[in-house]
Amino acid sequence: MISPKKLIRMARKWQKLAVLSRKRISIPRTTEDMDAENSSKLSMVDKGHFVIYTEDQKRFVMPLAYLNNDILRKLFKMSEEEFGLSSNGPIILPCDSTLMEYVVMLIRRGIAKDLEKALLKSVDTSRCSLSSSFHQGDASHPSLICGY
Amino acid sequence: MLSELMNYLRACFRPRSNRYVHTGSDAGGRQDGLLWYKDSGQHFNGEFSMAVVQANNLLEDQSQIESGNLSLHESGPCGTFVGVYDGHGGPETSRFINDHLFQHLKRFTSEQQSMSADVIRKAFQATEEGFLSVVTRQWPMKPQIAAVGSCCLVGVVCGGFLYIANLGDSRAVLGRAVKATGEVLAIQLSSEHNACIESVRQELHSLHPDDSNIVVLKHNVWRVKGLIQVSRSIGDVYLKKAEFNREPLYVKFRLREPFTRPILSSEPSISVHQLQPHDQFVIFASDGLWEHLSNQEAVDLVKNHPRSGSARRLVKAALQEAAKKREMRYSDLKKIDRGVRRHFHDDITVIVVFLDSNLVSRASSVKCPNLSVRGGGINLPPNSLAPCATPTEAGNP
Repeated sequence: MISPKKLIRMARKWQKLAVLSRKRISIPRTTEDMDAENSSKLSMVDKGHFVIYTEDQKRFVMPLAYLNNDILRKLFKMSEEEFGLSSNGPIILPCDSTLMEYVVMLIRRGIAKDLEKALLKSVDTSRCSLSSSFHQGDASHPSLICGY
Repeated sequence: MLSELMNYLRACFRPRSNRYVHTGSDAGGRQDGLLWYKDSGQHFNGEFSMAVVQANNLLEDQSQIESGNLSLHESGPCGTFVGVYDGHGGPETSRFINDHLFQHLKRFTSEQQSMSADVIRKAFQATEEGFLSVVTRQWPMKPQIAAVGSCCLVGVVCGGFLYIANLGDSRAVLGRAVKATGEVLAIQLSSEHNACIESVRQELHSLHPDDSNIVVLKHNVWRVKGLIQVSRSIGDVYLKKAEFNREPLYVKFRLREPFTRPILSSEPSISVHQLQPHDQFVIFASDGLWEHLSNQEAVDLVKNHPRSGSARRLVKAALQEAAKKREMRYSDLKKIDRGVRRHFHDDITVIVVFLDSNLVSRASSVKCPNLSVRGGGINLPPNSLAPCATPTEAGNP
């Protein structure tokens, strides 16, 4: 089990990330797991990979196995509620590249299950429920990572 | 939170009947991963080809082809019945249509002793009423059933005529040979009821003159009341009867202001066509196909290849197009599990009905063995990885 102290620490970290991402002017990144941006030509990705875009139009190429990750699935679900299911063009997830990079890092490290759960919960209460008004009364919960 | 959990569990442990095991005289199709197909079969008026690919965690598309006697009387008339039912918010409505519409049609054909647009209209109406009574019965235990609905496309070939009836955004396209050029022309036979079409929005505004928000553009998609893309359907009773637009239905489906008139209609658009010798085939498909292929592209694909496997070829072409849009490989797209797969493409159902002019022109009183095939055969236990269908999937037909 995860201690409440640790949870709060983690939530603070997420909040900081969210604030950071709101202020951030997009900086080109190079992470080994991701394709280099290539605006002139959108090439087909390597075998065994899929592509998503973040709201700030960064392209992420990920191995198919990531589709089993609960955080990513949550983001897909949020995308459905936020934008509906579009049949045209690429998939856009409702977060920015900073958060996505963090998520990718967590997936690559193979984060502990309870941390993942806590993270999911924080995403859930702050954003998902606000957009869908699914859980009534959740709006009173402290929003951990709103607004990105 | 608790109710959400209960719904989750309910969705997981919903009793599964043998609804996928068809009981007709013809053997069912084959299953290859999430793809189901029956490459070739014989119906009263020629050959047919059928294919379904699943994307949703629970297949929301349902379909059937029924050939032979179209009435309850032995004397017929005989012919071919095709149905494509694209469900939304869950599979309940499309499954219900698959189980009841054809029976209603047979009953009304018997009563009127012939096939007609009126028979089909009555069969739609009886199916709508039947589903309403299911919702009324289940409402106290399972209120989200009020937010489940389905598009409904039906084609009947009988006595040299082709009847097309449609609710929602599935589509029937005729391939007609042009002698002079050797081309096969695509002719769309069904009218669609999707708010992305301007005439549909105009119709909604004229039916609801006092409601300026009857259609809303949300994230670049037109939706009736900001909730649903289609303006006509079977089911969706929360938008038809005000008594279901209240608690305990989820807040997201509830309208702020009460309504007196139904917001969605269940009146099908019906057209009747006298078949010509150069009418070669009709493609019936859910919008999952048409969002990736144009009418003419689909007709050309059928025309330029052997009849057997036509439907599967169309599904493959649509998936290849979907993969391209998602900037990935078709071979990888096929590996994605149902549920999460829905983010890459929709459920797709295709039935290609070939019309043999010699068979089409014979009398509908000619005897012919009955055949019944239902599309989609997957009946897996819910995947532990894929989340079970929750009401959050509703509203995205």
